[in-house]
Amino acid sequence: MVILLIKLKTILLIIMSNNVTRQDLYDLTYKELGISKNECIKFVDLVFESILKNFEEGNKVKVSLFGSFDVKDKKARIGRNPKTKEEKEISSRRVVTFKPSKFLSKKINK
Amino acid sequence: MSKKTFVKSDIVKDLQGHFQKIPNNNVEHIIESIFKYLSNALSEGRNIEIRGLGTFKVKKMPARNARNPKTGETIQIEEKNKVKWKSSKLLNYRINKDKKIEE
Repeated sequence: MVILLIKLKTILLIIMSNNVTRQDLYDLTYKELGISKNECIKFVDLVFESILKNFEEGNKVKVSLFGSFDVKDKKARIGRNPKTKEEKEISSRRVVTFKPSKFLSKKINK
Repeated sequence: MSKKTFVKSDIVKDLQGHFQKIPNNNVEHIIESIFKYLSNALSEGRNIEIRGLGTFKVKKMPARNARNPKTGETIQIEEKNKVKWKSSKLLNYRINKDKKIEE
């Protein structure tokens, strides 16, 4: 019962929040390209897949007018759990950073 | 490891082989409209959530005082919006395959 309520809540949140998801992009390609729905799904997924593949290879990805992604190496460091104040080593890892383009920064500050 | 920069035209090249029916110009155009759509959504205050890639959110940064470190002069920085990016767990896993990471 409780699980059901939580599920309902998340579904409601998804509908109300109006987030952009892959689904919106499928619809957009469908409208613009006029190819079958399955092809549109394949198209959008391949766009992101080709970006993800480059992250795996450690490449920088630049999308003009949107922003650039960079893969950075982080050294291991000691972190603290803010709640319990317990110290623990955070292992070295790779992270992806995003920097919005000037165009995008201007756009959201209108 | 030398870093390569991957740009939009490389995405177009990547997709070409899979969609021979669609002319090149159209492929480029639709990729442009995808990202145009994403930036429009952000400017309308909508969040973006792409499974497998990550999320983009617009966050309002309050006005603050800052100091020019060279001259020590205090300046006022106006309130502004910032894009917050968080990579998805799946992406973090994929780029760290060769490392063991404890969550």
